Amino acid sequence: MRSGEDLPLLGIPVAIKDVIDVRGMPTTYHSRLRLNEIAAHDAECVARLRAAGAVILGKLSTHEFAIGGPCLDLPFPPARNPWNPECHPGGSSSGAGAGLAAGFFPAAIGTDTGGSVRGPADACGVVGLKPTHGLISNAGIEPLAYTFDNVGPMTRYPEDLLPLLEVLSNRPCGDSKLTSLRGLRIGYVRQFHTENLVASPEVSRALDAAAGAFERLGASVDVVPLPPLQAFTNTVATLASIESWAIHARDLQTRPELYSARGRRRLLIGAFLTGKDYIEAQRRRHYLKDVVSRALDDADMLLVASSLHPPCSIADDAAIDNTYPFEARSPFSATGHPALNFPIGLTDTRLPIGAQLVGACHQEAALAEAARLYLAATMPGEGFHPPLD
Amino acid sequence: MERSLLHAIIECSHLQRAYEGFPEDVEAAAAKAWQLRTEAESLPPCPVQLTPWSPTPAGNP
Repeated sequence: MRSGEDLPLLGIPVAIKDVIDVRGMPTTYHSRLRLNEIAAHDAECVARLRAAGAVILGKLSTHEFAIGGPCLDLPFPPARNPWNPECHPGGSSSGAGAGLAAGFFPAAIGTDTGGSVRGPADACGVVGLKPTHGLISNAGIEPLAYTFDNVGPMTRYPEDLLPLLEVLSNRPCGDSKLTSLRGLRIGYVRQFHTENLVASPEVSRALDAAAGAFERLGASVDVVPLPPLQAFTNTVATLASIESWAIHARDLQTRPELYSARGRRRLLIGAFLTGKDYIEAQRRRHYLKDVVSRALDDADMLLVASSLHPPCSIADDAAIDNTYPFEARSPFSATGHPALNFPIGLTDTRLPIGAQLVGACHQEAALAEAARLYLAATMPGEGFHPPLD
Repeated sequence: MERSLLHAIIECSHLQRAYEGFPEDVEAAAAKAWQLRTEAESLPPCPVQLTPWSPTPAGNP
């Protein structure tokens, strides 16, 4: 790499979630089962970043096998939220969200199976993209759930996402054709956080305010009905539990003591589900994908809640366990549509609140541009960042 | 889930070792699976003509 070379990411520092192979570095998955494994090769996404001139900074904190949750019974301390170190930074790409919010690096690569890029982006007030399923190669990453896993870029600012995405996907993302929000048709999926589950008042107010701001900036915003949130979350939980059990069964049967308690509880669920459960959930998944695709025939993108509560205390086990059902990210893990998480405000205690923009498959550029235009109008300047002493 | 049924499933799943060491974790996982199945049964039915499998799962062009 030399100054002046014509490379799209020349000299850009990028940090990598520790479930992704980086040649010569350990890939621990933050698990006792993978403590001493050094990657012989770069994962495909890392190789593409290097070839584009990026500087690979190192590895970032994750939850055990990208599923466990923050654990104090593992040799890896969990990441903390820079907005308040007593709070959960979201997961499982926790180190990516925390490091971006703290300003340690401008870009990071996470993975998103049921929301693991968008969750920490939401909790830490940064931007995270779950691209269209299958857009970025997962080679060099041990699967968590075969039909849900995605590599996803995370940045401080939405305009930084697309250069990364173009390199990671090895294809042009195209021109979003958006020059302003005027005329943009936004479908607001309000029922997820007002009827199917009830978001905290602060989160609910912030989402309505974001919808209002889009409208004031010239977009048309119409409330769009979808099937109940539980239909999506149940489908994802059933399928992903079975798929991850298929991967971890042997280790859970023979050396369960090496997992964290939280990891065991989550990875064992699939042992108690059946082939019938799997087939019925796959059927439902196809139906849900069709419904969301149809909603996107009448709207350019959907505005959807992400976390229904602000970040909780990292020491509160019950609250941590409660964060999993109280989210609206997994619907688009089920359907495969691209979903971008971006900040929309702060709570009274100065913790981030975010939302998702969801588009038709391969419309990532439009989502990033809409988020950029929204933030430029509502949070001009450098955006918002945590106070760091 | 009834305890006898739970034990039968544990045996079929070769989870005896996990259950001996961490019975609470195994029982919690079984309870969650039971909850997922019960919730799925209460959801509105989706059209049955949809195929349950595709070589290109959700989202691929």
